[in-house]
Amino acid sequence: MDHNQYATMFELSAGTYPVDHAGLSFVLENPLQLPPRSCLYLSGDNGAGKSTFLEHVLIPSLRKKHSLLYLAQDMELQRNTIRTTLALLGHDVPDSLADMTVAWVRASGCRDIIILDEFDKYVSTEQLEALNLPGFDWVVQVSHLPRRRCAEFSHGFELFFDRQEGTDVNLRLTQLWPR
Amino acid sequence: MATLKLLGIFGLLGAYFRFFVFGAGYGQVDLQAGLLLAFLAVSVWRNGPRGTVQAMWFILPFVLSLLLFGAIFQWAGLMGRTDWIHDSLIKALVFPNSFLAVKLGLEAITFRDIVHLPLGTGGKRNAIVLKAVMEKCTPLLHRYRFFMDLTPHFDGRRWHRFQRLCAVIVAAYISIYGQAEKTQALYDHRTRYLRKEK
Repeated sequence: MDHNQYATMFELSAGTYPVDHAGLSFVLENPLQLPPRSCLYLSGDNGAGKSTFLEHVLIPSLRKKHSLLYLAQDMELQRNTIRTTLALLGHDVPDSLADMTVAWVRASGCRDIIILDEFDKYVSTEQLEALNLPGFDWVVQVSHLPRRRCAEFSHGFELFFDRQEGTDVNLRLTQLWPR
Repeated sequence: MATLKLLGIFGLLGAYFRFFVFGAGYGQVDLQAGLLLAFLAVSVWRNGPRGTVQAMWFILPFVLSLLLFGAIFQWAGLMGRTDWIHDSLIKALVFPNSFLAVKLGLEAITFRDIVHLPLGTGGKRNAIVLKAVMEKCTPLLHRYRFFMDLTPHFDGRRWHRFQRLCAVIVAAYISIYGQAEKTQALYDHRTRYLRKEK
């Protein structure tokens, strides 16, 4: 199925999203609506709930309308599924994680959304470029490294995670570019 | 004490299988359903609701496939039998019961129990490595299922669910192999260099 013909926006309704087992409740005051060719950065302190939000709120919501690729923080585990996926599809399985991931991204045929949760800690800048992120309509990134503007994307946003006392995490969206 | 505990656990498991799987309790749907509720209650007590749901979620495809095949065989009137649904319902109860019985039984054995067993060094080492690997790898299965459910690589392919399941199993095998090697090396290192505090 070509997901793009049905989904033209990356959307998440405003509201409160509780994730009970993590003891967190994400409060999004305004809807998240990103046009195609957007880059979204998730930022906030360690333990603010960025990965939890990705896996339990954003990804389940996006999957209803989009095809997506997710490179998780626990790459030591995910590399085993990447390796077996490539092998089952009859592709060569490169030794290095960077090459393996590039092959996995290419084999997917997905150009809709890619989500990277601190993936840059596993690869160099050059290796990250080999993923051809500009080829995707939306890129979502969690990173603790200094942020660089992606000139190839027409819109850039930051979603800041502000963890309050108790379980609430307030989410604030800022447009980084164009201003 | 540890030996008695293990004998008790394996004795109970043996009695369970003797009566409820290979004995008179097998065909009694009410009894099996009651047993399932009891096992679920113990599992919630030991592992919490989330751990119990994860365990049940893991075996759900097998249980559903049992029921599905039962329904298909019943509809087709295979071998002239008309009790396929009843038969598959019993199996759909016995399977999770057996899974939970073994899981709860093995979880009740602690590392301290293994250390106190009258086993040789090699036997203790293998038992400790086996338990450590099982403990580490069980949660990984859920993680692998999550990754494989997300991956779009098999979308639109014939037997894509089966291929995803195969990928989970192979990835788990790679993990178990890797974890066993790591844990064994760690155990050897600890036993070689551990100093007793006076």
